[in-house]
Amino acid sequence: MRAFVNHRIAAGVHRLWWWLRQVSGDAAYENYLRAATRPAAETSASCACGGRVMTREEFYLDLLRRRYTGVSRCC
Amino acid sequence: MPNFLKGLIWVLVALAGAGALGAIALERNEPLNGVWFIVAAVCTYLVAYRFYSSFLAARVLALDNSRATPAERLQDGRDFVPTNKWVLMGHHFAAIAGPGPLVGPTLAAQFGYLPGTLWIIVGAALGGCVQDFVILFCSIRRNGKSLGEMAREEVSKRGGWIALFAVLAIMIILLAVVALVVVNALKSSPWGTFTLAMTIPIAMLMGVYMRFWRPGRVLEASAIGFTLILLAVVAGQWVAESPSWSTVFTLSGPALAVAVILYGYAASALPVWLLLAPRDYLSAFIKIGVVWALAAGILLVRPAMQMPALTRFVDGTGPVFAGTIFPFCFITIACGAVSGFHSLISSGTTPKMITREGHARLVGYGSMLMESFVGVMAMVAACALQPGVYFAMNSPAGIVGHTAEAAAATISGWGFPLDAQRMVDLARMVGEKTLLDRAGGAPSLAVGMAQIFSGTIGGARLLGIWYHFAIMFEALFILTVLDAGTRVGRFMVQELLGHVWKPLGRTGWYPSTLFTSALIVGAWGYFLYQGVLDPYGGINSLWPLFGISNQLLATVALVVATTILLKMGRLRWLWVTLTPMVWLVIVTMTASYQKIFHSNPRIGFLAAANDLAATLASGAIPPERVAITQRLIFNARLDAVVTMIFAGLVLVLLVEALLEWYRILRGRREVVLHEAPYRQTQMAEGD
Repeated sequence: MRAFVNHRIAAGVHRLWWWLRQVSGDAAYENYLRAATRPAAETSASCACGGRVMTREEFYLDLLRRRYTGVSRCC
Repeated sequence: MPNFLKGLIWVLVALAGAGALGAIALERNEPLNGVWFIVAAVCTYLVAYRFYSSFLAARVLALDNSRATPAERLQDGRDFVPTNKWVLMGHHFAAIAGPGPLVGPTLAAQFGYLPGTLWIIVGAALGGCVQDFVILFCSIRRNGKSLGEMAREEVSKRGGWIALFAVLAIMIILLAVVALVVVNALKSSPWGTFTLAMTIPIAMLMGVYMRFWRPGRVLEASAIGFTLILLAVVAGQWVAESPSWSTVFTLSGPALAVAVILYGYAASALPVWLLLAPRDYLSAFIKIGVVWALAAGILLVRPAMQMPALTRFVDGTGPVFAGTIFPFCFITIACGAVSGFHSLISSGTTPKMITREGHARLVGYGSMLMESFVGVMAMVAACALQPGVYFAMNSPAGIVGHTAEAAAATISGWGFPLDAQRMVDLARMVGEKTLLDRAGGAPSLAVGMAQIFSGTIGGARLLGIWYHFAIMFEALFILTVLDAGTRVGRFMVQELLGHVWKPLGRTGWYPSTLFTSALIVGAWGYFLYQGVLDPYGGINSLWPLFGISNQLLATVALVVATTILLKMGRLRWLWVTLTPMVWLVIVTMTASYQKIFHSNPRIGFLAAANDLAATLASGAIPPERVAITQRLIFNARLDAVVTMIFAGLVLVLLVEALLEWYRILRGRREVVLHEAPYRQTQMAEGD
């Protein structure tokens, strides 16, 4: 019973951590890499670097540039 | 679970909600506690979400989970990314939740808790959530197009231009009014000013960390930033108690206004990674954390409502802002119930990230319910204050006087007993020299929140820390709106000026960046400075202007939504967007008319200008006040013109839409829906 409860708690914490990383944008680069390395037929992944996959730093700057050229925060 | 049991549970939820709403509306004998408000809100939201939003999803919009969304069809890992619905809801909520649902309900508390609370709950369920949900759906079906693009395609070309111009104009007024809230909260407050000033180097440190040391590691940088900010809040007390340092950080209203204007300019012109982005990350975390902490605090402390259900100021003579419940309660609350600005987010990044059409219900409708809940909590925090304290903090000195004694005498005369010593003691307990003349709602909300938090942790000993934590929290994300809004405003100006001279339209050309940043900051800075000089505190004129413009943008969004529903052949269900649209037109046009033409100088801009002009002509103004009086006259007339422009723009759009609807209904126009063609989803069922 205790093992079951511990397992559920660990799964819950893991899920919460995953959600936090996704919402905060901490996992954005990993998501991008997954999309960028998929077969071309499944995705139209592109980047600002002439077709090659962006580095983490390039991706971060590209993300900020795209996010803050439109309305990103409300009143 | 058997169906009858499910039905029984929903009946019980509905009864609990109705009972709590009934108690809020009818109980007059003893003060209610905040839990009644939470129960009323949560039960109403549950019923609205379960039944009304599923009706919208199934019958009105006919959401189709077999249809590939733009996130799937155009997936690129950057803009178009299929995203888990709970993650996207977190993104969307963080984007739509700004200072509006905190400040608006706090100001509207001057009418008592009843009108504001009812509008926040009902307005959101039937208006705000519907707008967000339907616009999100429309944008999903159009590859994530913006509100302006949809207005141009579905209503008329002019509609698109009106939407673009309305957004820019609203942005300017919005930035001015939120900046004014910060200025009024921080003037003569060395503790608050120091804490907020420290957020700038902290954000820059985070920016360098995420740019050079650990690129994109948002959580690590935010944890460091949050720790440093907590230290800054605590250190602020030492600064306030130090004779030399407190002098450095004690700034007047005009000085703070200049500082905020310079800050806005820097934030717009500096690289985004250095200041704007790290502050945004930090503010989003603190915002979500504080909202949950406030909900938990209200449930634990169960604060009693000190404010009556209805105050004498329902007659329009309120000291915080002038005007009767209709239309000004609705204009003032704005974002907590319906926010036009949300339509920009719902047609911005969110539609490009949604995995299935069915998720739009949770993301669009559900997030707005949460925003409304924030508004209810702000109302509870404001109404838990003694009414005398609330009015002393939010009324301008021009109405209640400049000293605690004068304020106590005036406010007690209104029937809200207030002891001058109580204001002095309260100011001392929260570590301020004075809490008088703090129009804008932020400080009174901070006192309310501090009382709730200190009731849970620390007691009266930590009241000062909690107060300044709350002030820092409010100011931090107001400044985030200021940073991001100024930048977006700058891009809009560059887009417009690019038609005049191409180089000005290049966002990467630094002279253009500096010039257009100066234009946009100058525009909102002008209104901010005018608000700071206003003898009635500025909030009285600027907040209604913001509310009107925000609700007019919501009208634009609902006009677009109604046109699209009509083109989709949903004539039978047109009332779902038409009803809130008609209501908003009535409210905003009445408010616009009154703000321009009302004979009371505290309400009507033209009456205020004429009143001041007559006083000036009579020679009653001392020579040293003549120049400022002339400026006040000009400002009042300018505000009247701005209101006329807002209302005029929306009336033009409305006429365009009515003509379009007439042509469609009479069969004189071929119905063209600009939806992306259907494509079957390739996503697995559980995605």
